[in-house]
Amino acid sequence: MSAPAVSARGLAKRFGPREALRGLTFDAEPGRCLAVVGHNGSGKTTLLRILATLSRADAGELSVAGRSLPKESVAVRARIGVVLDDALLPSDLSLAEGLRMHADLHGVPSPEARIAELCERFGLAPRQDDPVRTFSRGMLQRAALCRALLHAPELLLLDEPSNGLDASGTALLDAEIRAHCARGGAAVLVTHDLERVAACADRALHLRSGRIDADGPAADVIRALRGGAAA
Amino acid sequence: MTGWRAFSTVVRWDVAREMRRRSTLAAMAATALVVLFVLSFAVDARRADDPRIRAGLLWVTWILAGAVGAERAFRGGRDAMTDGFLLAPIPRASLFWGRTVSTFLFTTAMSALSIPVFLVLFDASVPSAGLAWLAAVSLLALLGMSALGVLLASMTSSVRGGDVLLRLLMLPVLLPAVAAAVTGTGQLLGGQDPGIRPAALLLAFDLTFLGAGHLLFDHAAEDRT
Repeated sequence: MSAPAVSARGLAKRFGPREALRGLTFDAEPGRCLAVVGHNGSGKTTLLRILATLSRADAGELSVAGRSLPKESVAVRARIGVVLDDALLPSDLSLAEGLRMHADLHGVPSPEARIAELCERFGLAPRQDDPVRTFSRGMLQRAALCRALLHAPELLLLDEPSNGLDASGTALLDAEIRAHCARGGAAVLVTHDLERVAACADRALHLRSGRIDADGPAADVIRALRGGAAA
Repeated sequence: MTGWRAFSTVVRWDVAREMRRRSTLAAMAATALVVLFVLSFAVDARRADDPRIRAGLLWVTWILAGAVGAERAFRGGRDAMTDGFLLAPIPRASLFWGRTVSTFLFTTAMSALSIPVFLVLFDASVPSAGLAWLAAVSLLALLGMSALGVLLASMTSSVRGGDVLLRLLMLPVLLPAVAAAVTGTGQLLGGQDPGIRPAALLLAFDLTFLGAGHLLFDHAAEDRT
């Protein structure tokens, strides 16, 4: 049995007096998409930022892509692709230049061919030489997905990746997540969009006030949440 | 990716972006020119004849303009390029060195632009024999200022009012370096030989903050929001 893509044991994070995460314990398996759902302020994004090495847990043990955090954070960053609420592409550079910068930082072989392939796949090829500041919200989100996939990461960490996407963009996102998992990669999808969870996730965690409130097959967690909302 | 390759990649892309938008250079140059013009009107011409006063005016200008550059050098959570670097598989120390060197290049360019304006406005001159000394001391002081600025900016970038806090922290810590630079520059403008002491003090200052940044940047750049 292969090692978990994410293994968290008793993960805790505090911001001053506020406990953002309270002893989270869970695994994310390779070849599977784990959805993390919950209301605003439930700790979803804090969890994702810790997995992405942008923040550090105050307590607990964590390994991501088989490497221990925070000790092996450089090796972890080489193995993850992250989509946050910002595309993380400099607005003054063109999309191709911004992706080239990330390709350089990740040591991507044949970066020009890889950039052209991804821009084509995400429908951005006609705009790849335009400054990123001229892009719409949906195009920025597609560009963020290109950036996250550039170095063929083992683990995708996605924070509300469908924000701003139109129907075709959302379908493309779902297909990319499923294809990534079919290739043996793993994904952690942070969202409050239960449609995306139903479309992409195998398993779901429901966070409430920094604690795991429900953990199970995605369909069961969605049913429980919809039932709770109806009740 | 090795530390050296990561460092050179950060510098190359920082410079490439600045060449495209020129906002950091423009902000620093504008600050330097405004401060110099205001000081040229405000300072009594007879007192400005004192080389120590002239040296002080030059360094006040560079520090204020340099603080603008330092604040723009690290905007974790507010700058796509910085956040992109933070997510890259590179040692954070390489990011510190890269950002310090690119900030140093921008502040050096600002200083080079402001020197002729300063010499004209304050009717000052630098003895040709002292040019190398002035260049060496200026570069040492600007390097230390860049290292300190990047380190402090990484600590304050995610704090509310971080821009103000950066200046409040940076200016007092800079005092030893500023005192050495102003004393030496004043002696030079007055036609005296400043000797090796100011440069040695600045070198010690640089080594202190380059070392501190190398060791602490990983923690300093962490998200605290």
